[in-house]
Amino acid sequence: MRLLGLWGNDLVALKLPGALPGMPRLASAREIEAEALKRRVDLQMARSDLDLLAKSLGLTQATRFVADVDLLGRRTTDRSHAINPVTNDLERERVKRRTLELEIEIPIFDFGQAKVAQAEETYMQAANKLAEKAVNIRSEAREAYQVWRGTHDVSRLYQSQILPLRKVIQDESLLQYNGMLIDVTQLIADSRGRMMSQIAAINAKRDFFIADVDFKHALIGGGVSGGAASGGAAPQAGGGEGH
Amino acid sequence: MDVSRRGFVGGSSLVLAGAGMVSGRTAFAAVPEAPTTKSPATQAPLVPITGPDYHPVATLNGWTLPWKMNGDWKEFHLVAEPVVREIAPGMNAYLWGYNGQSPGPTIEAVEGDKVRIYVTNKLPENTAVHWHGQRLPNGMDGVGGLNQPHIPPGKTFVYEFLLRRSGTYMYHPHSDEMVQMAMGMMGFFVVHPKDPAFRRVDRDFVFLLNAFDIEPGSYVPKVNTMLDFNMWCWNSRAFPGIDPFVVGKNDKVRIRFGNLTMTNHPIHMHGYEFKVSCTDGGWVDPAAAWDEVSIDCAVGQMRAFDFLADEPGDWAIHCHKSHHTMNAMGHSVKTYIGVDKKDLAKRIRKIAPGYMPMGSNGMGEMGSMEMPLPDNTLPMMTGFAQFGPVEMGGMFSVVKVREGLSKNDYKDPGWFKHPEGTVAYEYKGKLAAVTSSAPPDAQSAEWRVKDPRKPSLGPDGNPLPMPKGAHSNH
Repeated sequence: MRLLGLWGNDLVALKLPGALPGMPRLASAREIEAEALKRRVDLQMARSDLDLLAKSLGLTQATRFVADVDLLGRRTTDRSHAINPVTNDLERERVKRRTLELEIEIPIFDFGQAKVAQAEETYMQAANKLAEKAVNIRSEAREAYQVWRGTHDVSRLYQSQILPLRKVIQDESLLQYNGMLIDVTQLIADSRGRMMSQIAAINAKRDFFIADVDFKHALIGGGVSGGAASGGAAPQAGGGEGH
Repeated sequence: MDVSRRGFVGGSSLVLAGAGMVSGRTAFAAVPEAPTTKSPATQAPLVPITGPDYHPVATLNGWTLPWKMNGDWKEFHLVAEPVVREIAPGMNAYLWGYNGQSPGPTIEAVEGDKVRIYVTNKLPENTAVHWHGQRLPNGMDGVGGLNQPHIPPGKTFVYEFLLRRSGTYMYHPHSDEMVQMAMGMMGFFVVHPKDPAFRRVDRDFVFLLNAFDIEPGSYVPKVNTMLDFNMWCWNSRAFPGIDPFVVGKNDKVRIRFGNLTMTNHPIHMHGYEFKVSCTDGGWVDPAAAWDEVSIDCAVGQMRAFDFLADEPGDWAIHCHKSHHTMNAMGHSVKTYIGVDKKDLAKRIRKIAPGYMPMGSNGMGEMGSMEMPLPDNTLPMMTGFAQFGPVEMGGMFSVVKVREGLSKNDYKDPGWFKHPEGTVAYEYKGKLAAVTSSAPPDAQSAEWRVKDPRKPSLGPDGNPLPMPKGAHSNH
């Protein structure tokens, strides 16, 4: 509450939802890198610095542009599929994206009769640093995406596979108990196993939303959040019964 | 008769291959067709229309294999193949059997007959058929590898022998025998006496005892189970799927069975005493037989007993091992008799909705509850009759003795109509206050090893002095 700066009536008005929201749609890694290049504040600042430097050096005539990587017009498709354990249907998920313009252009000036050799060197140094920054930003974006995607997949596995399977196990267990085929202790053990999985599923979802925040930070250049995700390592009690 | 004819149009090359193996020895025109049935119902006895006369048997939840005369040979055709057998309504088992069912059809012939039995193997592995109890040439005895080559999949072999003795026999594989019998491959073989009047009866029932281990929710028996079976069957049927033995009043009745399970079965019939008349070793001299009400049938043995059905009614007949009159049950279920589960039940229901406490007052309640069970699973105890749940399973059926049945009527006549005043009834009068004895507690005198009224003996053999005040209050 203090972090949100709420007091008085605002405090009463704030209601937390009973459950975490659903999972957002997936984006492709390429899209993410383009997004990061477009939106990273630090990259924009470096770009402005370079422009400023060019002006201060009196460079006006751009002769050519270099791009860090040419990735224009590429299509990417992410496919995943899973068997629904309840209906036995094959569930396909497909993310298809045309790559956005993923290019950062750095103008190279005609240094002509260079007034001062130092000017050229200074500019080229700044230009290369900018290129390096762009590469690093793409790397950071990819890295954040991997964590984001990983926690997403773990959480999704719980929702689509593990929890339904756990339900099937408990339901069958109850049927077997009804038939006096197993003891009630086995039924209780299976119920416990299902609850452990539910706890692990909630933790996986929590991890994902933390990773989601970190990921958004990576796209705009704010470093990482304080609450680092536990990396999908949801608490596992009872010798792997959490699965 | 509910038998469809299976022609050999599609399988003619297969037959020729088999025929080639015996050509030169017999000049037969064609292999007899192999009839098959999909029904697990008891079919009417097959009255002979050719050959010597005899009184045919009724195969419990089964049928007799039709034959064809070829010269003076009686020809039969068995097809070993995978089958689906209904163990009881609500449960099918994927078994191996003969001619569409497990067990296979009963083979009936007469002492002195020459039988030629074609065996076509439609299993995925070798097989061979052993004619349990028969006197025959060693090469016809059917032990794969020892007496003959195994019958490979797709091939047809021919067995030819003279039926030298009348009696009660069976057939079963002797090639991967353990697995094939655990999968339900077996059949009855009755050789009738040459003299139709010899120890003739009016109703002659036959069945085999067999056991399967079918995991609840599954269909194929576990073939490596040796003792811990969960389906105790007669002719691959379990109560309430076993047909009744329908008998007319004052009929002379014979019931014959053979044991192909892995344990013995004391078969007990209510209402009558009976005498063993025949085993797989031959007829029992009437002077050597004595009255019984249960007859134990050891593994690999056969027994036939006779009685005169002069007491009408619905008489239970069952294996007297009480867990053999149960369907699938869990041996790990703990005993809760005397345990109050009321509070616990509330808490368990929170984590396992639908949970019902069971077993605190015995297990009889299960017979009437009819709770949802895993797929393809029979309740451990089940069946209902005119007075309520029967709470049985497995090797249990009813001998229904009725007046006025026609000779060939094997239809279920329904429940017995008891004459007025012959059914146990509730006492509705006043009872003197019943003082039940208090539950024994370990401290009470009657649970002591030594009589507390007698003095203990010291090491010298003389009585020790009584301790002061001890037991004086008892």
